Formats: sequence, C-alpha cells, structure tokens
Amino acid sequence: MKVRKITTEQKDLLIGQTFDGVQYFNPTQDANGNWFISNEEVNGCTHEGVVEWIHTLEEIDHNPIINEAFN
Amino acid sequence: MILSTHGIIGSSVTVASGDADALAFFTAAGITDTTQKSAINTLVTDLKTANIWSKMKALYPFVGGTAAQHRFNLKDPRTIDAAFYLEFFGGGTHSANGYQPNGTTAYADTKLKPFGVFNNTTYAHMSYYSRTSSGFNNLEYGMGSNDGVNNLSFVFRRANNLQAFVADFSNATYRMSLNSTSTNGSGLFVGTQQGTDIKLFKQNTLQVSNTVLGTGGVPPNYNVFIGALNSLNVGDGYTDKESAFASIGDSLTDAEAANLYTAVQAYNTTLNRQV
Repeated sequence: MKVRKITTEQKDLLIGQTFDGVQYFNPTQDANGNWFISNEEVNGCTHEGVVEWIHTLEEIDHNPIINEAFN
Repeated sequence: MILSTHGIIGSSVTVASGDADALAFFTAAGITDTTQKSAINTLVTDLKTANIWSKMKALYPFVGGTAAQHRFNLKDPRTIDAAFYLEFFGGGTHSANGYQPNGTTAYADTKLKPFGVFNNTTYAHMSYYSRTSSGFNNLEYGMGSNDGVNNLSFVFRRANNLQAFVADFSNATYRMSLNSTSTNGSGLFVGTQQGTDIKLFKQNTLQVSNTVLGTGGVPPNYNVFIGALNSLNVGDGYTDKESAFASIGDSLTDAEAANLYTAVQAYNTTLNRQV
C-alpha cells in the first residue's frame, strides 16, 4: 500500500483543513518518523489552497506504527 | 375522511409520515430515496419493537452515499457534538454501500466519550457491520477509545488474526480481552459487556465469551473513533473494513444482540448491500 510523504511544514498546513469540504486531512506519522497522508486524500482534494503542491507529493510504502494496546 | 377511515389512502399516508425519529433523520440528512427511507423506517421500528432503541447512544446507518449524509446519528440527528454528529478525518470513501475507511489515515470521530456515558451498571456494547472479508496484516480496530489506562474498543484483527471486544477499565483491576481465531472480517460484529461477562458475536453467532478478572475502574474519557482506535487523541490501528452500520450503546443481552442482527441484516438487505 502506498501513501504520500509530506514534510513537517506541510503537515502543519494541512491540519484543520478539509480536502473536500467535509472530510479533514489527517497527517499521520509512520514507523520511520515520516509524516504522510493517503492517496484518497490527495485524489479527493478539491481545496483551492493546497492543490498547487499536493499532487506532486512523493509516494512511499505504508509502514504504520503498531501498538498492542491490550493483552 | 372516508378514504382515510377505510385505509384507502392509509398506505400513502404511512409512507409519507412514518416513525417520527425516522422522519427527523430524513430531514436532517437529506434522505429522499424511497427505498432508503423505507429501510430506515423499518430499522427504527424494529429496534423499538425489540426494546433496543432506548439502549442506543449512537446509531450510524451510513445511508445516502455522501460524507455529509453519513455524519448523522439516527438516534439524535442534530448537527452538534452532543448529538454525536460524526466528523470524518483522512481518506475515507463514501458510497451507497456505506463508509469505507482506507486502513491508513481514515476514521470518524463520534464525539462520544465512554466516561460519563457508560459505567459499571449500564456497561456498553459496540457493533460494526463490515462488508469486507479480506484480511489486513496490521492491528486493525473497528472502533474504540483508549486513554492509556482504560480501553473500550472493538478489534477486527491483530497481527495474529484474532478478533476481540475489549472493555479494559483500569488495567489490572478490570481487564478483559476476548479472542476469536476467525479470519473472516465480514458481517455484523457485536461486542457487549453483560455484568461480569463480555461476549463477541458475529452474524448472530457467539464467537467467544469471557469473564472479568476484577472490578472497578472507569471507561476511557476520549472520543470513540470509528475506523481506528482513538489512542490519546491519535488514530491507531486503522481498518479498511467497509461499514454499512455501526452503533454504540448500553449493554445488550444475548437476545437483544440477536434482535439487533436481525434488524440490521434486514436493513442492509433492503438496501441490497448485505453480506
């Protein structure tokens, strides 16, 4: 599964913004410390303010942090 | 008057009116399709007939096909946090089949904090109608809240293919986890806490049950997420299971869990999206 890598500055820009007028971006950190958003957020983005750069984001493999929250 | 008295226009009046709670939902969510309206109306009346409706805090029928329509709680369709009006984050997909989180960033924030809603007398249930059977290699929560000590959550899959309903309040004093070795991720999952018993049902079949190891503790005080676990206000264990219904409410008995399955299965069958 692929996701789109973003910088810390881009993460800060996306937090609190919707990508389609209803659903909010959710910048997430992976097991390598990279911030990323999903391809669905990129492909569904209609927000005027971020379309200039959001489609140029590098694709990386999804490498989630896995926490076992219970025994 | 005569026509009405003799039921000649009765059927059209019934369809146009229906249950008051269903009507409020149609108006709020902009549901106009007659099949969807009929399905919702029957769902509400079935739940009321089975005495389950009053136990529900949040009912998400995921009907209408858009993110804006999927935000509404059937039990209280106001557009405020106190009504558990969903807020979507990340790349979920919305369609006539429901809400599909993407397994990487998507979840719905219910605004429902188990602390203050549930306690050690009412207990709780969670349900999730999954249309996705395939596996996923990571830890995968259907929904849940975790404050670092207390955990109320529903788990589709962990790395070892186990399924669980967790009501873990204050760790060692009230720890419960149930594991089923089923690897099929589709169907209506119902996790319910019944006093000292915790049970997990799938498609009206008991997967596993267990008893508490202790008593005491409180439910977590973080919003329940659907599509992931809310772990200290951060999404964790994202799932990609497409949801055609989800609920959070007071504890259900075995009979009530069975009646919930019957009602929800009929609802999704009417919408032609049953599994």
